[in-house]
Amino acid sequence: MTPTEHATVPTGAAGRELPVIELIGDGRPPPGGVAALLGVVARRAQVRAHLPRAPRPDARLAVSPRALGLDRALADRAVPVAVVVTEPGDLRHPAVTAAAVRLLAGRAERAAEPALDGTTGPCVPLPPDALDPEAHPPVPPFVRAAVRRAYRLPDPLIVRVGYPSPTVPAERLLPSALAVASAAAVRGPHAALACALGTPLVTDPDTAHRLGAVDGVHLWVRAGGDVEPAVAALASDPERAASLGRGARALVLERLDLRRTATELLAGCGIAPPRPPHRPLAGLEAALDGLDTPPNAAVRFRALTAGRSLGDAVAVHELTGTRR
Amino acid sequence: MDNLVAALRTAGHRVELVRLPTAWDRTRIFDAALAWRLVPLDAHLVIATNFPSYFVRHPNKVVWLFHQHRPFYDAAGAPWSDIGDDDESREAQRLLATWDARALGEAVRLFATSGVVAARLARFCGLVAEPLPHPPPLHDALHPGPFGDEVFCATRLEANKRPELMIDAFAHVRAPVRLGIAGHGSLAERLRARVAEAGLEDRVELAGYVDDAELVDRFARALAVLYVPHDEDYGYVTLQAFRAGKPVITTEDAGGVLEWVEDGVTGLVTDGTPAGIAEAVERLAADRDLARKLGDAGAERVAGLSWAPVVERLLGT
Repeated sequence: MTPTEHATVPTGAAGRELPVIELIGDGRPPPGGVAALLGVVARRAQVRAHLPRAPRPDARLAVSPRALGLDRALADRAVPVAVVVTEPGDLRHPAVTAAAVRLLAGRAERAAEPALDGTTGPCVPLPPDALDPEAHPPVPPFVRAAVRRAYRLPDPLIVRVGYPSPTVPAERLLPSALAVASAAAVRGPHAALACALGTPLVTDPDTAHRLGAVDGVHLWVRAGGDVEPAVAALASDPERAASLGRGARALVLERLDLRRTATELLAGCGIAPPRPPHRPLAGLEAALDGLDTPPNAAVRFRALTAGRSLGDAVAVHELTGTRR
Repeated sequence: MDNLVAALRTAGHRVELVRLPTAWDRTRIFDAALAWRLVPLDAHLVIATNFPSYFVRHPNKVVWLFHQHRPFYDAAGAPWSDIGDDDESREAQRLLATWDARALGEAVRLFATSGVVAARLARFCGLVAEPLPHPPPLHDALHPGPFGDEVFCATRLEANKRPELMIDAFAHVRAPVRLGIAGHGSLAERLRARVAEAGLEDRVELAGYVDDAELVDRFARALAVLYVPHDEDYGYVTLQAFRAGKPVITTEDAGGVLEWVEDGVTGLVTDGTPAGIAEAVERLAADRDLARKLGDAGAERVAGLSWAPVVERLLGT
């Protein structure tokens, strides 16, 4: 258990340590992006399948409008249900309109607004490239350079993904390669990963559009023969690289952060954020989170240890059950 | 800081100066930043200057950056830095750069004390700051005077100020001039030994602490001011020399000093070798008219510096 988790354990409706989300499947793997989202949700809730004789969950999540047993789940008014919608044609499916929350993924994510006119309850978009920023912390150019020096990597080091290249990193090495690159040319779904890592990035117009990125603010948008000169220029311009890397990370935090999606999904299901403002240590944790501090950072452990040494930080209403 | 506080009060504002202690080792360095993050400040506006004070949270935060925590950045690997060539160091650098970018990026207005500090901020954190120079301490008291036989410097006796370089240079100087260095620091004893080893006791004075009146007087009577720090942020000594109408001899790697010292115009910029510095000293000792001309040009460069426009820019008025 990381210090973060230790300090931020939320309490479920039935007094369990973690709220429980019951997953309702349809016999297939969850749609793209949903599995990653569940990984983030699992930090704040226990995600499990339906278990006979198990206590009622705090919420249910159906992976599609045709999930097995969804009708029965919707009939249980005491437990909110979220439904994953991937096809625009399913937006008016009775199960979708009856659900407390609609998680819009795939093609439904961008087509949602007009089609959902008239429905009630929140719609939570799941952008196709959303990821967990905690798993991919930003690495500024001068630290990248220090790593390259330490490990005798080429300098400058340019990484290309989705473009012709004499050296294509294996998929499993992509995060490492993008984390130490001087600059990268990336098009397609891996561009979001590059952005999360703060990689100075050149991409094509389609990828930029897909990410919602602005040329010159989050990355450089170039096409055809302009890509190679741009990425080479970026690799040799530390100031521009630092500026774009910072912008790329900001883009992920603003638009592609699975933590935000998870918070919206859980909130729609009536599960409060894990750090209610009344807890004495909440401000400390919020300060650490606000600075993009990784869960395993030593300073987080030091700070929470120091805070906890003053007491266990349990609010009076939690002791007495008299919360208003 | 005291001068800024005074300038703000002169402009009619109520001001409180807030300070917190900081530990500088690479483990505890984050604690002070986090402590600032939690300090409740209810002022209408907060002006943060140095690391880690700019971690304070306030909806109307103005940052006037004097320097970041340089041992994690450009001074990594330097003798006064505990950042080394290891993974733990690099993670500490990564985290501080992330924190810095976030905390400094929150500022409603972001200034730097010099172009050098602004350039470092752009290079390490990708942020743009406007250079905002200000008058040095004793700005109003400093005045020109006769060109005597002392080459003077007021500086902390620390490694980044390179006081030993001044002593080594004077071992090469044959002209009948003396070197006076005012200031304290951890290198004081070592420097005294160096002076003795070089047989320079009668030509190099390590004056230690001198009060403001003596400081003003020694600037006024100097032939020139010698200031050779490594990659200085700003360099009050340069501006003080110019206020006293004295040329500055420096080195080509002196950082912010070079925003003021232009070779052959307001001073002499050397290659940074003891021999090169000695040659510059000899040149001014032999040509006092040149010293006067350079000093006058320096005085002109700083004539427009005052606190009023600084306060206006910081407050956005």
